[in-house]
Amino acid sequence: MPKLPTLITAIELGTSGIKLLMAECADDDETMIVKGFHERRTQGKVVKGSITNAEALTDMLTEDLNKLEKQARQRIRTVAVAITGSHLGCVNAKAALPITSQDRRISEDEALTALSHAEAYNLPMERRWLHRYQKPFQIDGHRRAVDPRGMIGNQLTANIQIIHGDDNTIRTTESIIDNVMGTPPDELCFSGIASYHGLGLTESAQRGVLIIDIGAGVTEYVLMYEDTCVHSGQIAVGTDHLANDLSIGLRLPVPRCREILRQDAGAHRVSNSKDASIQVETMIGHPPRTIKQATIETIVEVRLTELFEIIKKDLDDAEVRQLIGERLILCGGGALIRDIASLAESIFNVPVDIGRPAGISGAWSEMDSPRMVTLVGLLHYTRFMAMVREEDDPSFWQVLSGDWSKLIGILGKAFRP
Amino acid sequence: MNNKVEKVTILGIGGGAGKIMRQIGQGYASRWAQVAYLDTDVGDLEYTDGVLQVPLGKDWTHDAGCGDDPLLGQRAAEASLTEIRQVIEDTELLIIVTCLGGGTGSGGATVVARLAKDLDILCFSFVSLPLAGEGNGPRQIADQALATLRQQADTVIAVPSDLLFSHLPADTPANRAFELANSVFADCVVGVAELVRCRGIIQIDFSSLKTVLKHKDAHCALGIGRGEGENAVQMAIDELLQSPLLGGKTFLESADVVVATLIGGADLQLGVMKQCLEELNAQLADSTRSFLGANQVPEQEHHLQLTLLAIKYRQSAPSPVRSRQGSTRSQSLTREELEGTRQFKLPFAEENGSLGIFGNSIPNMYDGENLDIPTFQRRGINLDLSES
Repeated sequence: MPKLPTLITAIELGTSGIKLLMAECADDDETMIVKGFHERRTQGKVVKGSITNAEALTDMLTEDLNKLEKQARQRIRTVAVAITGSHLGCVNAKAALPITSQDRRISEDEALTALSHAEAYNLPMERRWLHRYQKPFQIDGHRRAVDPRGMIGNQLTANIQIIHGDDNTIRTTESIIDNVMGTPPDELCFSGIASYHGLGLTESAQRGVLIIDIGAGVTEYVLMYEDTCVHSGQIAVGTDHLANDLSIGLRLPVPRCREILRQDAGAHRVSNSKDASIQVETMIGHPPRTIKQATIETIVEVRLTELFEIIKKDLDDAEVRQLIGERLILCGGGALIRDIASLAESIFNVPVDIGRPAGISGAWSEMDSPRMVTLVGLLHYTRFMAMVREEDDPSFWQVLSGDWSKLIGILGKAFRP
Repeated sequence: MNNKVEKVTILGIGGGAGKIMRQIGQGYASRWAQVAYLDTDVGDLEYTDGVLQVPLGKDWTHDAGCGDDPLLGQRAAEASLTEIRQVIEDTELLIIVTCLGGGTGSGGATVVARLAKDLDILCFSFVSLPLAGEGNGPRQIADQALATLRQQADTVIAVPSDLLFSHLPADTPANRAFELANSVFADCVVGVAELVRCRGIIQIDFSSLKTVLKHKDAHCALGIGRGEGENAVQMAIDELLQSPLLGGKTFLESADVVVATLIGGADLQLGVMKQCLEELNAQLADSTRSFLGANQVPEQEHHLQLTLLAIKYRQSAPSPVRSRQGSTRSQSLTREELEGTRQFKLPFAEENGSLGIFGNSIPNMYDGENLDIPTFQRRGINLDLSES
């Protein structure tokens, strides 16, 4: 039986920069204790979630991982990497099986056959699956059933949500880690799924929760319902777009606009900000400029409204928006923008919270930020997957009824292809 | 094939439209059209009898209006989308009436037009622009709202308010002047509804009309003329040609499409109808595509009313055609191709906007738009960069 990893290093190669987090599992088996953290800007080596300069990134990562080891005074062992970018996609794989027995009672064999047919969904050669989640069965096309055994029907449909990505792009990330560490990463995880694990949600995921992670270059979203992922997606728009919009609209340098975004920008216009303004230093020797708060908020609001509307439309097209029964959680750097929750609430018409990492401790104040949710989630996800594998060939029904249900390995297979 | 318009909805948005909707609600149009009025100011709604009233975005505005903030108006309308959908979902033709320059109308009209587009409802927007004397503020709001609205509605008829007053004598009392201006506006709106609703003696082919009106990039003008007695036809034609909203005989002669409806009473004679339509045809160029209809309504006994919508494409074939993002390219499209195409798909459409730090990255396309270009640029929003 493989041993559960206790010391895990999470790596996020994001648009805003490289983030590394090393943590150790506490005795309670749920909390991770931070041993080391390092962050640096990637200066254009990753654009909109896609790696544009692998060589330079390898050098940076080598340097940073060495620093992390020194800081933590521990050798890096298990490594998990977040995968992001517009190359990712998701598909609902379906397989319908006619029930042929005379009494039309669905047997365990028939349920397993339907699932294995759905699992055999053929992705194009250049695609590779990252996650597969089992969704409830459908009997005769409309009746939902988590466990269809013993139920009567003419047809049983199995549904599996597959999150997939471009094989070459994923291999590029793997090869960078391989070059630095001498071994490929132990876990690869879609950033949106990692964010879900980083928020420590249990009941919300049962009743339906939408998680939107607004990063610097990419926004990912995941809809969890009945403990399974029913839909996910990503848009190559993030806070860098907001900074760029401000830079073009206000005619200011992008770094200055990033500061404005952190300090002065609101996600939507408020009545008392009509006459408010801020003083902005532009260049040395030049007098500061006065910029109306309302102008900044207009730029930010229209961009964020567009982003949320795109997500909303995607959820509507997939006919899953009505499954958000509990709330929407915003995380990532974009979640720090003032009033973003109320803007999202007005668009999605559900309660909105700003998510922060759960199940993490240690003397690192940086951890208590929506920016760290994905990174912390990678740690929890790695533990979670190790526990899944620790089960020595669990039966299908064990998987369905367990806390970590619906994740495929449904048939007790290893997670990685 | 059924080309008839089953349901027409005339929908006013915002305080300025309230008075116009009141007039329409009290007129005969309310018998065959659904007349509805949306506003964020509940006080205004209370004074609009005979009209289906829908308060907008209570949570956003607390029933007290938008205070000339179009973003607030937009948000209020978004918050009431379900109610708006209930009002318009069975409609075949939607006519949005609003006075641009304020908050509710300027922000809400686009939301309604977009919803109509999603529901595939033919949508006319009938908007008035602020008076020149109202200053730059309302004008800027109106310009911005008009640009956004043009992207969503099938046909936008923008009427400068100054034109509504232009035919009134200078000594008209102010209250009366506004009343008369609203009346002209209301008549025009009902006239447009009649153009399409008309299924009386001569029917307009609705599906063909829909095709030509879905051509978004066009300039529209409207004329209305009335006549009575022996010389009714000539009176109606003369009044129509002098109509302040038509832009003169020259505009009519250069129009690409003309849609006209003659409304008469039960006593409307074939000879009169023929004479009227011939007189009108004589004013049009040979190349103009015309849709002419006639109808009888009891209220027009002994009267004639001629309503005309003239449409001139901004770039008609083979001159440059405006692409989705506003750039122009020369295309050799025939008029038939223009009329039959709902949206022009041009190869290598040039982008109109700045990319900034994304200048060297792969374009981030979504629904025909490059998301790397700032949203405010793609939406045509003018930013207030003044320091005061």
